[in-house]
Amino acid sequence: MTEQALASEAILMAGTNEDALEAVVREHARRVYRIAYSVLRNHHDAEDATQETFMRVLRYRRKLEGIRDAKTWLARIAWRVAVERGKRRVEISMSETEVLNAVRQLRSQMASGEESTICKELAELLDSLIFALPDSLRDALRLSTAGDLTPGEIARVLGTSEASVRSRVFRARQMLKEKLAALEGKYESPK
Amino acid sequence: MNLQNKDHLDRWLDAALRQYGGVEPRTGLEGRILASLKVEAEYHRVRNPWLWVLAASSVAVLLIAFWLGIGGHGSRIPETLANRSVSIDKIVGPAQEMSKSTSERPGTTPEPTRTGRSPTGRVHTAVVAASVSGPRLNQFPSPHTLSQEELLFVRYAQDFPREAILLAKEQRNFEEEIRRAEADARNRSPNSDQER
Repeated sequence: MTEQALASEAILMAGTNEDALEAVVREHARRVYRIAYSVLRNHHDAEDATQETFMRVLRYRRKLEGIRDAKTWLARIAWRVAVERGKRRVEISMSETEVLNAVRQLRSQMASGEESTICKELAELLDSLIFALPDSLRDALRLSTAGDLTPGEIARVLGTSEASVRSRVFRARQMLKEKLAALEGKYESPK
Repeated sequence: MNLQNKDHLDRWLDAALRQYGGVEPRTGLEGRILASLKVEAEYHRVRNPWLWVLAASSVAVLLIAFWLGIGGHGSRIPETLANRSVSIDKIVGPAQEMSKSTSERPGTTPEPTRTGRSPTGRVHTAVVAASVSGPRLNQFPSPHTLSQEELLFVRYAQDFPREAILLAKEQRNFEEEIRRAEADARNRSPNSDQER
């Protein structure tokens, strides 16, 4: 029996067996949480979305009989729940000073070449840039960063082809780099 | 931006996106999810039987109401007839039959039927409920059906009338003797009290 089939069976048993339920939650909870967080960008909302995802699993587990890939099925539920909840999310607005601080940190990190933790302002800048991407590119990029989902699994979640996902992720990265370079050029320090 | 910078930006973006997506939930996420799932499962487990009980009781109430409606309908007919003025052309036929049947019975008087005219000129008859409830019997109390022993005795009397008469006479004599003996005993007892 494959790993995916085992996962599906575990979810089916989860309604009656507490151990199986616990196993499913322990295996998939963090991935579900990351998918929700990639959309909602808020710990509290992401946790609520995770809880709702597993509630739906418990409610509709009978439908899982025909599903081969429980991991993708869960990811799709989590994605839909998060998107439904994230509709109210407003665009991030940053002040000029905050953008300047973020660009300064970006420049110093690039110069050092070290992978240090990005500061809050730089994280917000990146978030606002991703938020401003076209929907199709943004969704593919978010799912590619959210967990250990392969391009094929992302394609099944979004209902598209694997090639399309790869292309969207590539284009999204290109656009982000262009925007970051533009910002760096705009706030270039006088020599 | 030069090529080296582009390469740096590419690497930085990789790292930034890893951090962007690699968030960790607060500790105990699984426990909280499991707890809420257990609560949900318990809620469904408790709620479903109550739904069944509610549905069953409502069906039972409906059935009882239906049964009472049908059962009560028949018993209410005479009452409604008694309390309501009924059109004469509908009631005259049965009323006459009833008055005939009551007048034929010995020792009974015909039930009073009051007729009158309404302001509209239509003739109405008020019928007392007792006269409608059923035919009155000639014998009071009403004769009960004979028991098995009584039926056997009747058959014996029909088959062997002489023996039955003799037996009846013997029975009567025996009962009289007993009655006499009891009377003697009653007469003696006051005398014995006085002697004491």
